Amino acid sequence: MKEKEISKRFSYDIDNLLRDDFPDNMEVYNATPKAYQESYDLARRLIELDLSDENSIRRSLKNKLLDRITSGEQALGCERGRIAHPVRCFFLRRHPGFAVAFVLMISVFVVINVWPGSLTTAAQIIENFVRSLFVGENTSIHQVSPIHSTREKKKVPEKVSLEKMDNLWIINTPVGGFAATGQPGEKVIVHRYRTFKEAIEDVNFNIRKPEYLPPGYILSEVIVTSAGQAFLVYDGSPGHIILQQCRVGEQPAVEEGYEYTGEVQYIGIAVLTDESIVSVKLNDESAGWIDNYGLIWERDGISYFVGGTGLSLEDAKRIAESIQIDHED
Amino acid sequence: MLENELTLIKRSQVDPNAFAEVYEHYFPRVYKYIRFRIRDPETADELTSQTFEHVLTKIATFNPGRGSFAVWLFTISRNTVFDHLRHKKRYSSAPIETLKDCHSAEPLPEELVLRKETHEELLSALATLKDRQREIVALKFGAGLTNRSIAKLSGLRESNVGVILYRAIRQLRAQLS
Repeated sequence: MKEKEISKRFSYDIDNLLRDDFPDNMEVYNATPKAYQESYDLARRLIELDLSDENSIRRSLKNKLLDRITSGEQALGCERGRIAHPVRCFFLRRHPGFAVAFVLMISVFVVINVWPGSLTTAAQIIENFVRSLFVGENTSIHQVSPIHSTREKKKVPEKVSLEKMDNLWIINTPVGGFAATGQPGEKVIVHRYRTFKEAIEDVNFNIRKPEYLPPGYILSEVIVTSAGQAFLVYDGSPGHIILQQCRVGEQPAVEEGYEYTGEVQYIGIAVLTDESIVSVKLNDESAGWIDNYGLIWERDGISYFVGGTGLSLEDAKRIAESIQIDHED
Repeated sequence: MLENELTLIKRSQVDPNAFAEVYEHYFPRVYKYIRFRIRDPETADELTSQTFEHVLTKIATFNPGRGSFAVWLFTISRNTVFDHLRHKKRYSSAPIETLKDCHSAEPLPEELVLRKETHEELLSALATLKDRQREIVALKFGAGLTNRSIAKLSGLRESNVGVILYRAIRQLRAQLS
């Protein structure tokens, strides 16, 4: 049996154990290899490990927490005895709308005093948004006047290259540059892999690959960043195809080595372009096609982009529709 | 899962009895998860305490539409543990190895000594695992979560969780033998 199948069976057996459902049929258990039985027995020891003698706080903590509920101190940090208690509780707990209106009023007052004319400037910027497409909960495309486009019109490189700039990396590709940036102060790490298998084995990121590619294209590289982005680079004729995927929405914040930091961050994708944009359908999903650039859509909390030299909308759609939801490696 | 869990959670903000039921049900799992991650029992006590204080403060924000209570609760537990580990990494270079005989001021009955040795053996072996393996083992055997819930918490695929778990147990086995 392959390791994946064994581990699947193992997980199934452990879940039964956790449900207190030790197999009655010992023949089945006895039929498994000895090494498997030893693993199973060890798992059982871990499940049955009772640490309740060890901790000394169970009762005292419970009493403390119950006292807090009784005295009504638990919600929104409205602890008794703190100076801000009446104000904070009034605004946050009873009248949150007042709190929002109050903050907005103060913000507007500060902004117009510190930066006179800022509201007019903001209005002009908003006016420059010609058209917006929302292709998912966290992904949008905005057609703007040329001065606000984030896409540089400089000559694009023929090959993929990485460029380090302070805290971020720029991944230069034939379809344009992609910024890999983390949270403020976070050091972004970029890894490059030759094969898809190497990439998925080494990173904590659910990378997806398309089943369809235009004839002659092969995967040449996978680039993964600790900011939660993955780039699949395909070589062929007339040039590269780049498939970018990025987790969006509320995400666990990660740091060096892909370890979860215990915080949550929000990631959204907003593409500004001065090219024309077209709303298209991928099966039942909305997507946006940007002329001379590529196709953008969102699926299952991942924002995708596919683009390439001379890639047609028809091919981009076929690639997008062929991406599997969950790959079995 | 507790019977009437959602009702109990809703009432927990104002009803001490409801919160007590939730607490009694989840305390052993939270403590065990944290103890699998942290070797020092006193620190584990402290982190368990922080977790439940946080749970009480935030319980009104729990939204059952976004996932189960267990996943929500263990997200808080994990955050508490990760915060501690990060802090420890930054400010403390000395490993805390105070587990042995930390409660041995009074003589223990023989049975308790044997049980403690078994605990010690398993917990020491757990500490030899890689951080990610240890986290998955703690979520599985300490928190008692399904692979799907672990995948949701860790950002891994469900199938990868199974493989990591199986490899970790094999490694533990080798360590213990």
